[in-house]
Amino acid sequence: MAITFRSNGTTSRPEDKKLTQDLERRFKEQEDAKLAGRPSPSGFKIRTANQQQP
Amino acid sequence: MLDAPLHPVATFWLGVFDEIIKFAAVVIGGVWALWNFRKSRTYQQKLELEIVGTVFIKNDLYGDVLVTAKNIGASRHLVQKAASFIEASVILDDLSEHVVELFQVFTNDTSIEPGESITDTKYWSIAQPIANIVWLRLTLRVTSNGVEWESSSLVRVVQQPNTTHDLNVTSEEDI
Repeated sequence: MAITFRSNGTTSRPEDKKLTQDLERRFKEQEDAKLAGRPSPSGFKIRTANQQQP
Repeated sequence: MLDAPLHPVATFWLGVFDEIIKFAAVVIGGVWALWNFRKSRTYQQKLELEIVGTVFIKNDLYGDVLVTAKNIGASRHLVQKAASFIEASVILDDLSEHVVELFQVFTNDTSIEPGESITDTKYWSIAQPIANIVWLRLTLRVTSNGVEWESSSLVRVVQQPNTTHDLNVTSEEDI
């Protein structure tokens, strides 16, 4: 059974630079871990086929 | 006799009153237009985000998402490179939340014209065991020119139904 979901609420606020840097750092760590074959910190095994390459 | 002017003093004050009314109308109209302009932020960057997706289980848990950012402002929106993400997290039956994947989105776009939309799609799967996943949360975050926009969606993960259904069937004889 497939569940379709939709959301179009938006919140805008001044940019949180620390959050941006944190997301960029975590994204880089995630991609490095994938390249090194390390498991996800969450413990779940994720497969993504269309992840953008840096 | 009918064409005779009104009292000269009354005529003067009627003229003054008329000018005051006109001046007040211009001032009130201007203030209202300025307030309306500032309130509507017409020429500031305005984005409308939309998340549409599907989650289903086919042995593993599969998900796909289409994210849209529409420029609803009247000026061009500049997209900050590599600063837009979808954060996918799972919420388990003990209500703990775990981020499972970060997707970078809108990496090929640099600007959005007024009224224009940009979209991106992502898909993923989470391998077994997934029985304790109750919800999936997707948070889209777009950052540009010192402003960030965020939209979040929570979707219930319906586990595969059992092959045997526990239905309470009441026959007519029982009634």
